[in-house]
Amino acid sequence: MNYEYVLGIDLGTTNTLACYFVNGKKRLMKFPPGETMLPSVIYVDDYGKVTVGQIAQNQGIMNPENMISSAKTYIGNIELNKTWQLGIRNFTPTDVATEILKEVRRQFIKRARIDENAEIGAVITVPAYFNDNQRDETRKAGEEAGFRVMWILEEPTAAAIEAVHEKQLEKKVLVIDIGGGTFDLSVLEADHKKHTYRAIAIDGNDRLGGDNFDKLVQKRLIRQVEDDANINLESADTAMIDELEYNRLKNRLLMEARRVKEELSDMQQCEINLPNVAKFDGKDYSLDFILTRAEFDTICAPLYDKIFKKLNRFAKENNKFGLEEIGHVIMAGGSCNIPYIRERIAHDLGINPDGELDMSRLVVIGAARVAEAKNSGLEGGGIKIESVLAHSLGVEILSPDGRMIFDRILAKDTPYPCAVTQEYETAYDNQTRIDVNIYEAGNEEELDLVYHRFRGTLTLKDLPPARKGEVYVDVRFEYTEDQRLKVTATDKQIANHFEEQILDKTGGAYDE
Amino acid sequence: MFYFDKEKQEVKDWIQAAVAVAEQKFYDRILVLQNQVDELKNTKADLLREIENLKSQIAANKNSTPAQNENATESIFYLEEATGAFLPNEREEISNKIKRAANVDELKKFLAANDTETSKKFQRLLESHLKAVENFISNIHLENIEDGELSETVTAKYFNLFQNAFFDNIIVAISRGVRDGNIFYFEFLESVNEYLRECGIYTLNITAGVQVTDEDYKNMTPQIRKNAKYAGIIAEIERLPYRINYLNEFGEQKFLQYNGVMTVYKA
Repeated sequence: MNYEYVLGIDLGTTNTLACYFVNGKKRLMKFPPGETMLPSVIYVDDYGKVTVGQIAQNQGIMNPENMISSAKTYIGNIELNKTWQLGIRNFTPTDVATEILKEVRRQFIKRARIDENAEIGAVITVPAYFNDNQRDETRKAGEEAGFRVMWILEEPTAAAIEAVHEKQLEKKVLVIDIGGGTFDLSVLEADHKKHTYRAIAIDGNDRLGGDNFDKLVQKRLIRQVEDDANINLESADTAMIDELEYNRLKNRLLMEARRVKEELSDMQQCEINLPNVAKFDGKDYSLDFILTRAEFDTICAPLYDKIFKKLNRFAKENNKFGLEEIGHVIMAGGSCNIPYIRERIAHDLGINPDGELDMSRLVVIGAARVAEAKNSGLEGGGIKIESVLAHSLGVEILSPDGRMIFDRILAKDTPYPCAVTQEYETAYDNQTRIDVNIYEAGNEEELDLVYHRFRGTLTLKDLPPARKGEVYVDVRFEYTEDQRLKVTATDKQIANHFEEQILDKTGGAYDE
Repeated sequence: MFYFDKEKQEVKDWIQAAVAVAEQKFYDRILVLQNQVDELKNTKADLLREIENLKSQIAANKNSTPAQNENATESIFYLEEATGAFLPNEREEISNKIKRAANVDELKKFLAANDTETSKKFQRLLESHLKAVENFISNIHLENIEDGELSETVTAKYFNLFQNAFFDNIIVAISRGVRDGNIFYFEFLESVNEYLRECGIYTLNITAGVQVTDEDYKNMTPQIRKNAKYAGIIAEIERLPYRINYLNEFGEQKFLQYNGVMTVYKA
């Protein structure tokens, strides 16, 4: 289907961005008061009125109990089953995402000066490790917000598409995306002439991102203030200052930490000069010192270790690709500007990462490009994206030693659509029913079911009574192009005796 | 010999009449006194209300930015709204106007004339700001920007130049300084305001001492000061919202804003 207007949307944990094309030129959406980022925050007042973005964030400072932020962390996670009761309304993470996307739609309509009933297509990005339910719920949020959701696209794939387009790349690309709160890795095979993009492998950490760097630098600034003024900034009481003054100072130092991180990406040292930033013991205090890049790297060393342990394992120990096949390293996310990260990638992987692209916008621009392509009317949307499974899928079986364990049917990193059939036998004498308990791998190396996420049960009844091991059942897992899992259990003894189920309501978030 | 019974009766009558008069006078007097008491009670209530009002005003004004004029309705940080877009969709005009940001001579003169440890820190901030401005002017390449996008694109980058040195540092430092009544900061602000005005920047006029509204939350980040009695009142403006006008792709005048910071009382 063709839409008159299409958007790419990066629905982030902390901020949401949107991008569209006009006559072939990309345009980043602006949100009040003129920013290209919309804080992924909603505020609900006592009358149930919802505000979104910067104003919601400001209102939430006064009444945090009325504000919801970082809802993406919980979306589609049935195990956590997070909800918020705000006044008379109950919000699920999907509801929150819907409100944020409604605001995107509102601002787009205003900006583009189009009819509010216009059909707007959208490609919305999600982290590569998102499972089916998380993708489903993201899609649902988009539809509820009034968009026609054309595709749920993995963030690294979006970044790769934009990078490949800009740089005309043709070999395998490794995408390293360090967002505000998450870290994604993926390898894709790209052909810009044929507009095909095939994901080969993905990995990540959903609790590691740029915000972690900011907090470490903030701690360093706090230490400097403590040393200069001979005070303890653990709390307002220990610092012997008003609580408001204490919070002001901490916030100011966090803002400065972000600026310092950015400045040290270009300079070897950064001057920190905050005149009259606080008052201690009746005297004005100014923070004034120099932070070098070397010291910054020392402060951030624990984060670097985490990042490179993950990256090296992914890049060098992966059976889906060899490091020597990687032609390009694309970096996405503002923190990828940090020189140490770029230099270490070049050192560990032997490939210089690309340094010319706008890393903080790659994902959303890539999403917009996919939206344009899919809306072009060409067969298949003029663009072919092959993704891979983020997690292995399998069933619960009885092991020879009597334990219930996970048996893999579809392996992680298998391109989809795909299907695999495996044969199973009854475990007990006169077993007349089989409960096919479906799981998604949480830890690829473990068999114990406690490490995996339950997805659902398919029951096949009326099996012919027989001794254990004499009745056979085929279990087929089919993962479709629209990212759904279809499970079929077939009795091999009796013709046309089978049960089928399409899973759509279970799942959990990626865990390390 | 008295005609005692008659006289007695007359005396009785006389006494009764006298008592009646006295009683009446007494009751009248009570009434008068009662009225006076009621009046005093009303006066007391009025006085108490007046005292509360004054207390509210004192508390609200205690830490607010001092007013420039006797009417106390305008903040000294207030910069009148600019008319028109500062940087229109015209290359030559943009090229000339952005150079105004590099003209910090008056500010430098003022700081040099008030040579203290504090003014030296401001001088350094000014130097880094000037460096950023010069870098911007050298690298902007207006010829690479489409005609209809000139105003919006260049204004965004231009406005960003003022964020660190001025909005986040100098203005906030001055705000703290004037709160303490330090004359240096009052005078410094005059130079800063003049400079920002020349650069096309203006502010909203928001004052403390009034109930916070949703509109305020759109324009300012709040900080909390605990006080149940005045909950919801803006206690202080640390920084007004700063704005600059530009023309969008449709030729309409819009503005960019750097949000202000306010302190609001909360229970």
